[in-house]
Amino acid sequence: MSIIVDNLTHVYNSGTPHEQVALRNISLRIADGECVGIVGITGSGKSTLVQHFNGLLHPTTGSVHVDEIALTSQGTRKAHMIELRRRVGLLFQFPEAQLFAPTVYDDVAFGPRQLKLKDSEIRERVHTAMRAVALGDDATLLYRSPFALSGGQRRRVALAGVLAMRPRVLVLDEPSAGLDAEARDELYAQLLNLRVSEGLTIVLVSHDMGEVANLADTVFVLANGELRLSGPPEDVFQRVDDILSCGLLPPPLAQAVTLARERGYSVSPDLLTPERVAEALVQARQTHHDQAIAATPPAQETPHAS
Amino acid sequence: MNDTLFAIEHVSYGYENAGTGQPLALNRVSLEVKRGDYVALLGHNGSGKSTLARLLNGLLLPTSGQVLVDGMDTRDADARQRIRELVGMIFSDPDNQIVATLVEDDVAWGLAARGWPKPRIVERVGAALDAVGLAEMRGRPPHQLSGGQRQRLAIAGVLALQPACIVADEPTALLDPRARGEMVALLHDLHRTHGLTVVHVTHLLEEAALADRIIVLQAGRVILEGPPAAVLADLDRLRALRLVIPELAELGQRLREHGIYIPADALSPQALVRALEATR
Ligand SMILES: Nc1ncnc2c1ncn2[C@@H]1O[C@H](COP(=O)(O)OP(=O)(O)OP(=O)(O)O)[C@@H](O)[C@H]1O
Ligand SMILES: [Mg+2]
Repeated sequence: MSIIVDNLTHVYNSGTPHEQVALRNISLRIADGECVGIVGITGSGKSTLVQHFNGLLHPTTGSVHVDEIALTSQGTRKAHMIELRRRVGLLFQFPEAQLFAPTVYDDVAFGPRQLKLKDSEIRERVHTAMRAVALGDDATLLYRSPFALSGGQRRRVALAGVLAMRPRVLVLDEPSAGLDAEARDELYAQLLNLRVSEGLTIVLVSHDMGEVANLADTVFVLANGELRLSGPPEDVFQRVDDILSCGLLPPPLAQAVTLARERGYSVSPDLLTPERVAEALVQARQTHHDQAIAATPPAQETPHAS
Repeated sequence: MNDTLFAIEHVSYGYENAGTGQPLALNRVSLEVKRGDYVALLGHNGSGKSTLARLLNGLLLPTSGQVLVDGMDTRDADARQRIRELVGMIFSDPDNQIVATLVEDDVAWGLAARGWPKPRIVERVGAALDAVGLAEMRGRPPHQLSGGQRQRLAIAGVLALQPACIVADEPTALLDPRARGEMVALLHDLHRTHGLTVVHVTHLLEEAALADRIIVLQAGRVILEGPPAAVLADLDRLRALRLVIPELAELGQRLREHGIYIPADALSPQALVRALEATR
């Protein structure tokens, strides 16, 4: 599904003394099957923006189109709202607070039951979703209370609940905070998988630039309710000054490359993996060394300890 | 004064509602934490970090074994109040800990509940707010504070009781990177300048790298323990323990493979490039 945001402004508590402009004139497009990152510090407007995507919020002015469904200040038809909730799955930040059912199974099955699916279909969806969040191995876990789980386990159960709805658009707010490596890798692998096999559109909300760099085709950077930067991650992350002015930090690897460049290492600024940065740094040192040797008159050549 | 703050001896813990056949959340763990230590606690989801953290101030009591805090047994009801004062807890979501409608009242709350006289409360509250850098915000309602500021407010509330130790369970999980860095810097500052003992639960090797000592849990047992440079040197081992390996750790390892010596605990961009320079 595609999402088109046109001149969106959102004002909370409009017309009261607590009035607060959370989004100003945002326009952006997310293509069908794309994976985009929405990045910004706390309070920059990320969550307000994505809550328009499934109709939890309506524009104060401007519009949001999710395929043919339009959201404007006029509201949306009830039938459209139901369809929207079904197609767009939203995982909030700190979702473990939303768990409520007596067992993990009931929690994950809650959404599919609302869709009035057959029991066998529900069961299949629950198991698939639990595997997707790396909780499929332990069958007893399904019959435990969600409150009898660790923080990271609860978060994964909440995500399984969203996946079990088989949405067409997946909006994830800080999905990997607090997850261990296995759960995180499984989550990323599943997201890629869902994209390829089902053409899912994915919106990742994050303040972790590194995470976004690896997964997203396009990043949108918000600051103070405005869209400040957008483009492919490798382009956006080179704009260090702009990123800093949005209150964010570039991914650690990009920061290291910037620092190394400042120290005279000639490495390209658009490298995004540790392998490539390591190669480039080793190469740069070698070149540096060779040049230093070439510049030294042979008579004075001394053994160079490195 | 006792040099050992926490003596954890053969401690096991099983949750009552865990259901039959569930393994213990903690299984015969023995540890010692000295006064003034900064300890990082790592481990996969469900490895027992939060359980261990909650045993440290008697929020949970061991199923078997004992936890001694400054020599006091956490099962001793008479010592409970004193232990809660000695060991302050901080969690990911500070909003669970914020009780008052003004910043300074929130910090004063614990003292007022203990019946302290007003002038001494005012003094302590002032010092606690200074220590976390929120002095200017004292008259504000907490909900006007940013996430990072609210987390610092929660710390001020704990500091007002002048604890010997802060146990922080994933204190940066909900913060953006800058606020995260500030929070870690604050914990280290309190450790250095106030001699506070810190137990810091985290999933981030970058944060653990700054501790004096790292303890890694796996399925309820201590599996690895030592100074960061030693614990972080074996990335394959850490990966097998399901820890998230930061990209800079991989970069450091690759450089080491090329014969460039980067210490294993150089996990910030600054530390890494400094180490690179030092070998040029
Ligand atoms: N309230 C509870 N009731 C029953 N079992 C629990 C409860 N809390 C945790 N557990 C179980 O105890 C074990 C240890 O959990 P703990 O919360 O200590 O892990 P953790 O290391 O903090 O994990 P995370 O990284 O996910 O926060 C897990 O198997 C978990 O399922
Ligand atoms: Mg925990």
